[in-house]
Amino acid sequence: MISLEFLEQVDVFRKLNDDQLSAIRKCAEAVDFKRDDRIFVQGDPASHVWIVLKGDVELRTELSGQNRDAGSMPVFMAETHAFGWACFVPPYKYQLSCYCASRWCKVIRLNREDLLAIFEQDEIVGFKVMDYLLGAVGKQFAQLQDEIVKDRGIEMMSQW
Amino acid sequence: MAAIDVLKQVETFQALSEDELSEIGKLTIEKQFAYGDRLFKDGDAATHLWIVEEGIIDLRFDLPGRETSEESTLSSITANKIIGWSSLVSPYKYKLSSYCASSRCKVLAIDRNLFYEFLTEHPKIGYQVISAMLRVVGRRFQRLQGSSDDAPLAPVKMTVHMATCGIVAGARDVMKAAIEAATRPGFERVTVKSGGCLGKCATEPNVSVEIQHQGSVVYQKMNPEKMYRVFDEHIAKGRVLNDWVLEGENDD
Repeated sequence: MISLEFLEQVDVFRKLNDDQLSAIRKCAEAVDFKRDDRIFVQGDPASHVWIVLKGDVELRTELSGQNRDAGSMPVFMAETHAFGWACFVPPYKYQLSCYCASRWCKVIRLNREDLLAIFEQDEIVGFKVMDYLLGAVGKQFAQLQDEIVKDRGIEMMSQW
Repeated sequence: MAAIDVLKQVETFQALSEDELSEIGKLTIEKQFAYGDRLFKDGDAATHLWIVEEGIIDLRFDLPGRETSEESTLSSITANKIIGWSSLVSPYKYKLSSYCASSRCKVLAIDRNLFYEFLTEHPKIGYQVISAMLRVVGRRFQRLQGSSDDAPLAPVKMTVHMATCGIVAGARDVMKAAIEAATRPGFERVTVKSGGCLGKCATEPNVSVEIQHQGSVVYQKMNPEKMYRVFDEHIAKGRVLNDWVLEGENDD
């Protein structure tokens, strides 16, 4: 059984009270993976939000027809980290692939449809969770934009 | 146009009822800007969310000691779109500067604090608005991610010649198509601007395309459909559409 103590440590649920966490817990399912198991693949329909319960997982882009190491630098997700916001953003497909990166890992998956049903029923939960996700996506957006601006700025300065 | 009529056109607010839109409309202030005016500056406290009502707003990065120019435009935002979502995301600072890029820009500004307070007090609306905002920002992020993962296109300057002769011949529709085409994934480095008469009034609408380190090509008798072809063939694949070219590929 996934504990409320654990769920309240997860950033995306941090502002929820026990009743709200209990509702979330009802749609949470723990799944085990072994090292190098693929949890989902880039381009798959994004049907779940995921949270690392134990162990490490890695997220990375993959280039078609090439092996797992050929993509970009991976991002490692540690315990209590949530990922998979693509399930709330069209075209509702995972933008990265996800692998178990430790000897074993236990991951919680939350079905998108079940979560949306909770949000519709209790809009305060929906508002808090979506607000958190907007902040998380906004932060990633800003980081990526900074990199692009830096590259283009250097390119423009070098043309002077 | 009344604020509620503008809000109805904006994706973020489309799930809301007339009454709900009317409440949000009360939080808006209409502002007008002229070409080149700055709405906000990179690093400023993000105090407002903005909705483009008319015109084109460029989001640009600033370079130290250098005047702003279209060259530093990351994206051009057209009517019914939102800018300044940083006002809803910590650390609440604008990450780019924004400039009016058309002869006139009309925008609605929504005070961030009042808006967020309203959303918190009305969680049903808050949930709908923030979910829609997440879809918009997430999609823009995915597009940005796609553009940085792909081999980047060289910067492209596209000028739609919009003197009276061009406008009479349909240059406004061509301009609209160019802006729409440039917002598609992979064309983030295409800057679209308006220009004056080339002295070739008989062949209007004329469009100049200048890919960095390559000569300028002028296309003649353009229409929206041809505009998309220019993006897909010339800009994306480097294939000049010779049948439509007014002047040679290397006219400089």
